[in-house]
Amino acid sequence: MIQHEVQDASIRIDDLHPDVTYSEEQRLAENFVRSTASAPGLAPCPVSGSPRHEVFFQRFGRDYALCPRTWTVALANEPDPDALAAYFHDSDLARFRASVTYQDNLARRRAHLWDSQLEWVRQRLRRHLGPGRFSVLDWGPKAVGHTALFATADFVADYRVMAPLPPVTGRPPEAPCDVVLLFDALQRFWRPAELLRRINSHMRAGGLLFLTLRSGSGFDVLTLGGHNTTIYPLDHVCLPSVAGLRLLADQAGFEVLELATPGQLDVSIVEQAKDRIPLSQYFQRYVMSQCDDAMQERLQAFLQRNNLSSHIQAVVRKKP
Amino acid sequence: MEIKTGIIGMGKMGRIRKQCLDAHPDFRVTALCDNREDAATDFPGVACFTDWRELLAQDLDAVFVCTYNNVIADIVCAALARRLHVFSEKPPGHSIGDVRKMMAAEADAPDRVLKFGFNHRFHYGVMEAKSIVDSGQYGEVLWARGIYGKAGGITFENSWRSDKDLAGGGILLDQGIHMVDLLRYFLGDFTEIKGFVEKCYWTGIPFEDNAFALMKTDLGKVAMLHSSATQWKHKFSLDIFMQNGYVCINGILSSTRSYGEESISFAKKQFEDEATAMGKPREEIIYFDRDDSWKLELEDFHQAIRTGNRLAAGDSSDALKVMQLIEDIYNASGK
Repeated sequence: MIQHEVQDASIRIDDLHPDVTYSEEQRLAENFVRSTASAPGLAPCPVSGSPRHEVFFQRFGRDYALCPRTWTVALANEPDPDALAAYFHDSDLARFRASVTYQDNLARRRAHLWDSQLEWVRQRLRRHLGPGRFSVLDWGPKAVGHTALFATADFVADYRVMAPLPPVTGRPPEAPCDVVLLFDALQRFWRPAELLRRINSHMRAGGLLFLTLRSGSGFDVLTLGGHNTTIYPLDHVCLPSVAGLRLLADQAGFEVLELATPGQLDVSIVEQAKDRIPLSQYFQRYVMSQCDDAMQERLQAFLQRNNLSSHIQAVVRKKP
Repeated sequence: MEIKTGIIGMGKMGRIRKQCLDAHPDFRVTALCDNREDAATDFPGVACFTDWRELLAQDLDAVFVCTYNNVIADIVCAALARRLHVFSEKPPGHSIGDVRKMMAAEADAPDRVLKFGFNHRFHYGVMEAKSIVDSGQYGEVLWARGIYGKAGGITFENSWRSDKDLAGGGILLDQGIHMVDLLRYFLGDFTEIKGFVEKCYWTGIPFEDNAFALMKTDLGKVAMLHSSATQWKHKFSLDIFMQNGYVCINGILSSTRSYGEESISFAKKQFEDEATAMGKPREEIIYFDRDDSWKLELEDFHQAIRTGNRLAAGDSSDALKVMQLIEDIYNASGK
């Protein structure tokens, strides 16, 4: 029923993905991924279960495929669960990300984004649950600065943590929660429906789940395919599309209250990689050759309004 | 339990109300009235009358008054005297005197609901903006600026809205009343009024085609209003600026979408220490693509009838205060 647009001139891709740090992350991720094996063939889409017949692109030697029904983009096959756990918890990459330098850097560059996210949660809580303080479960957090901000927010009565990535720690919940935060975590899971059902079981009826995630149906993902340096295994196992997320939410017992793609960076990402846009994509190549700053802003606003950006933000409510 | 309902006046608004009532599980439209005899042919199966007194004599629980402004007060008073719940279109009569008359009738029927149609309060954009303002997240309201303008068309000068007896006022009373109501809704009661009420273009009508007003509350909150019948491109815009942020309502959904898409934009204020460009804060815009205002307004009426609770909007006190403001604007302009 509602569509969103966010105008924020302060967000720049170079701030979010600074060259030195980001290229080191990519190097470590690639080393890890190339040292592990993957199964052959194409599994059905992990969101819709639809058969997939065609590899969309490759990153670090791993195939990604597109769901013909929902436009979800996911790895061709389920990653080995042990390898996945090692990637996030016990690898050179995990240690790099857990370092004080990395975390400080992250906090410095993303503080204003986290503030906006906090404000978004605060507003939606007020709209859907009314004023008050709530028990909050943060699922899969990875930045200590982020958890510190949310743990001390004025709407939080009790802050718990599940499945954190190093160096974040915290206590799991002992009772069903009012609110669950799942920020940029769903994309790390091969079985997102299973994860959402698990989350649902930790919530009270009427509770709210806040999600942010990368979407497979976004402009930069579909335009650049394997040339998109912001998408890589195993950080991005499954990128549900807008339709895919709706399907997942419904299957896991949630009602969608808000689903928007207020992403800021699709056009910047494509612009930075415009020389690598596949040759067959004439229109995108032409658009990017004509795109000045003003047109970029208008194009990004168009993507936001029509749910075509690759950053999804959603609020869903646990059904009774 | 069924609420047997009659509608008086089957013009545009009467038909909109009937559609909503027909879709509601509790209301049943059992009688209609219009002074054009042929109106009955559009509503087969429903008892139709040409005299509103005849309709009020039927076995009814509630009545909707969708007539010209000049007869609203008489019908409302008669309906309340017959112990009916009453929903009346805006404006609440011709004048503040009409409102007082209706309030007296209401006082004699204390268990009946009297509601006036200020449906704009039930637009999603307005509701969302109100929730942001009331949350206090951006601090106290400093000022507001409301513009509501339409293009008077080919028939404007000859329409009932331009008839001195039927309408009782110009664009301010007809359409601007919604913006006056909203400004009061967001800022509180105004105690100081300055205004210009002008015939800028439509010189052949007895009323204003443009009204400009500045209104101030006791707390020093200032509202600027422009209501126009010479806004050749339809416009609805309400900006509310607070100590630490703002919310702007742009456009209001209508059946023709001539007032544009309905959206709110809002942001926390950012000075140069937070924003990359001064005066360009991180702004969120929400677009609303559905207008349920008629339905929600009807539900407010329904709830008040069923539960006896207060109306969320459009009670006689709202009507009195908004009509007082309109009268004050006319007086301030010397008209």
